[in-house]
Amino acid sequence: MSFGQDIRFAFRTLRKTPAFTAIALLALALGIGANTAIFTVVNSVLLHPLPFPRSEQICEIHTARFSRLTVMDDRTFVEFEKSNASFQHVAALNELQSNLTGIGEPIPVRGASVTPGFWRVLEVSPALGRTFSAEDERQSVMVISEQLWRSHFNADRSILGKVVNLDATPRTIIGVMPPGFAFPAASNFWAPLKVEPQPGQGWFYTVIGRLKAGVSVGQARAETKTIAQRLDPKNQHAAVDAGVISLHESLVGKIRPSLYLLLGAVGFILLIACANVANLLLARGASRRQEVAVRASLGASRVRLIRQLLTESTLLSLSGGAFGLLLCLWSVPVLIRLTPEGMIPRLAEVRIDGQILAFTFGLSLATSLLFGVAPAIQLSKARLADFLRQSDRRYSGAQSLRNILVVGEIALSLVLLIGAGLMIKSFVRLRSVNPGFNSESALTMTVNLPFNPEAKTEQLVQYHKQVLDKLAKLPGVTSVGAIDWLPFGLYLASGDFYTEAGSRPAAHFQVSKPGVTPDYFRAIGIRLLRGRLFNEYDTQNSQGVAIVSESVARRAWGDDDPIGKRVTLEDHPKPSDWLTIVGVVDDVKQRYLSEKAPVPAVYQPMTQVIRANFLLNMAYVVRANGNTSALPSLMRSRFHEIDPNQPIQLLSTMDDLISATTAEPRFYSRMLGSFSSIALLLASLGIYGVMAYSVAQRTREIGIRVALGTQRADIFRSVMTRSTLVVSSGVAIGLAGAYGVTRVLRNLLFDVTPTDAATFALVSALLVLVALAATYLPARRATTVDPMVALRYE
Amino acid sequence: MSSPIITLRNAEKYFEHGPTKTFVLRRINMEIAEGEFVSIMGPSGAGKSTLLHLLGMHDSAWTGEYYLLDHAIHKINKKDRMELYKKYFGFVFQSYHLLDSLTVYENLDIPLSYRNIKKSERDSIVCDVLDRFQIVGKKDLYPNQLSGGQQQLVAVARAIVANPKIILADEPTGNLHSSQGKEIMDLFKRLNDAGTTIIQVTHNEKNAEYGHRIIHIVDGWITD
Repeated sequence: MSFGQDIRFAFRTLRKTPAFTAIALLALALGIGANTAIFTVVNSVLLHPLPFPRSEQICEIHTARFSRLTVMDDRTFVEFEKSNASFQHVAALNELQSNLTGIGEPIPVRGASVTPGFWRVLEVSPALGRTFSAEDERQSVMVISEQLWRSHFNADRSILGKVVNLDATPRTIIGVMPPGFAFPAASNFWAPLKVEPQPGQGWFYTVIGRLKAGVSVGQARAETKTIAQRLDPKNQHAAVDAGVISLHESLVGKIRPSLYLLLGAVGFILLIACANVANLLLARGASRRQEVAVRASLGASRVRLIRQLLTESTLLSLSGGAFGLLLCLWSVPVLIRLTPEGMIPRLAEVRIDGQILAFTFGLSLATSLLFGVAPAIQLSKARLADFLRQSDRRYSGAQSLRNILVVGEIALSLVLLIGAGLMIKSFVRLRSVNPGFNSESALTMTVNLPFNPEAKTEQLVQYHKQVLDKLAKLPGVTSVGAIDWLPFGLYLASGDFYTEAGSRPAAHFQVSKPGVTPDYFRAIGIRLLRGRLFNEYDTQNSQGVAIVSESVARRAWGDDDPIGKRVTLEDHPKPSDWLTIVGVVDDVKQRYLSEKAPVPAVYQPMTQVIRANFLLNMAYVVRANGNTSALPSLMRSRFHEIDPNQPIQLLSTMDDLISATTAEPRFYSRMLGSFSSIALLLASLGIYGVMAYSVAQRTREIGIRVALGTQRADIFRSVMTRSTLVVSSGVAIGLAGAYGVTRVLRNLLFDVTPTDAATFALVSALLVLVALAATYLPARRATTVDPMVALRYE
Repeated sequence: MSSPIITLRNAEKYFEHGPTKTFVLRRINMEIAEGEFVSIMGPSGAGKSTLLHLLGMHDSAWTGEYYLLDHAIHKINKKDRMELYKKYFGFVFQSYHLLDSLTVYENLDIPLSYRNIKKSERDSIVCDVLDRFQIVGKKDLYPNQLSGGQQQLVAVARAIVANPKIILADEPTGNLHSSQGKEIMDLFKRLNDAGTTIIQVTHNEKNAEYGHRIIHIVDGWITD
């Protein structure tokens, strides 16, 4: 028989059993679709090379580390560029968040200042015009992205030479990059960067380089360490901190474990779906034994029978794969939309391409083998003599295999459910953390004024006061304030401080040093614990004052009253730099709710901030009564009444701002929650199928039992007991599996251990309940078996 | 009659239940000549169908000697038995056992396809058989669109489509009313006249008389 015939018969067989086919297709579409969707992201992000020629030669080079940040200081860069032998070209770059004006509505744009080597490292040419070279380093030129060119310049081909204002500096557009080019991190413009180390100052840059032909990453790393040690011989860590990794690894290395985690989770769903479909096939096998036995009697060899049965499962699987692909086409954009901004790099490059189609095809074929082989082998054993000798109701050989499959489904589902349970518990705990202020009914608007070396504190204070006066008059507003380093905001500066005794409270005890307006604490809802808040008498000319957060007070003065004590934020303070503490307020979380300890703070009145440029970045905070939905647009329009050319960086409720910092754990909770819900649904379908089939098989036996006087309650109990045995076996294996597997979640959990006993117990109980609920219907059906009807079969 | 096409010597089949054996067939010795039409009769549970399946090589768990022409079936492996089965046998069931999802044409085609015969050749054979059995008009129908008699007619056609030397028929008229049964038996007769060896199991005395001889089985023993 040809494959064509096999396929035609398989198609006809599937069409004859629409319920079976529909359920199997649904399970397969979910399994294959979820896997294809996650693989699409994994493929584009982790497996595709970066979109630059010979991208494997491009590396990130660093000689210093700050937490997760790897950088190189300006002096080292200048030396490194001159003396290294490993790289053809190197480039320093600095990511920027700037304001673009002069093209209608001012817009905030992301971009980068880059040294001219940047273009040679990446080997990317502009689509229009030119990039900049060493001769342009001091020129006010810029290159823009194709996206910006289309969105704000109407794809104007005569744009070259046009002058726009970037952070209030006029710049001439000299080039437009090709579509898709947005390195680093969604950049829309590139401006020249001249690295010139200055005495007493130090700047750090991200540095990239293109390896010379034949030089390995390892060789380059060794040379970089040598250079770092040579340039800073006193620093014992110089060689340790220095390193070279591929740019691809540098961009995606951090997200790799998380993506593989999601891939693992959807892998579980596929396995569960396979077990489900295998179970359905085995159940259907009972009614097909006759057909298979007859085929065997007509001369079909076992291999031929298996081939026919596998053709059916392959057809089923490929159809499931096709639906899965549709599901993937729909779900990938949703997945991208749900992904918190910046969490997964290269998301803009995610594509469903030929590789994904091949993956889906391969996965579908593998899936068909996974769920099709065991039932095919089982069914191909059907022999005519056995079949004719027995009633086809007795197909008990497959029952144990079906039980094993359901045990496996339950175990896999439990692992996923426990993983989701841990993530959800972690997320709930995270969201219940008190940030130290009252975020409810508070809104913030952040602006980043252009850098101006001539800026004076009093001018900027006046500017902000004007804005605050406008905002205070908005309907429902009860208080307004401003702060330069807003909690959960875009920026944060921290550093040492000194008490009057002339010492730092501790070597690594760093504080944030915000400048605030008097009403800031009321507006954001930070409690005053002792002393007073700032007021209008705390001016540039009055005595320097400060408010400290509780942890600062405790750390610096223990149980002593800090009010009246003096601190300074300067390393070499003048007499006027000493600030008298007038109040103590609650500590606040500065960046994340998951911060182990709040960031201690020493607040200054904005009027007394020495470095005026610190006041360029300002967050206005508004507290209002009643419905605040109309406030954002009012705040925007009032602000632009004062400064129409100044873009607003951020306009948000404080709740949303906090929420954004929990977006990653929320994302993982959602993803694992969705995956485990699918798993639970499939597992309960599985257990329902097995128990329903088992009851159908036992109809005659149950009929005899009833005829002999067995109570219906006993029949019910007997079915439930069988189910409980299967479920508890699955739960036991699942618990053991989860105990081993959930450790991979350790880094994603907050205040919950990966083996949290309460989660394990609660989720297991939930699964048992659902599984027993799935058994209830078959058990009820068993109690309604009519002995007369059941025995009439004989 | 010519030389035996089937020879059984001391063929036995039993089931073991712990230390005891329950025999289904005992010391079966029989010869069936090529071109013979043999009817096997006996009460329910006597072992008639078991004997038929043993002859049809559907069952390999038995002892004794079985020769199919020169082939010592008891000595050869499963695969070779299957090849011999495909070459020599056709099988007709009481319940027809046509494949529900296949049309009449496809039901006839399928034994040929299992014998790796080329499509063009298969088409020609199937058309010939459809013509011989006068069921050309029904070739695109599915079994559930046929009467019982028509289904058994197709089943017999399927049994002979691969041109077997022997047809094994297990109560071929058991599910048919008398006139349909007669048609099928007449068909067997014509096939036998054309040279096909036929071994049928039947409860029906009248149908048994179509055979050249009747073998009676009681409790697994041949009684005459």
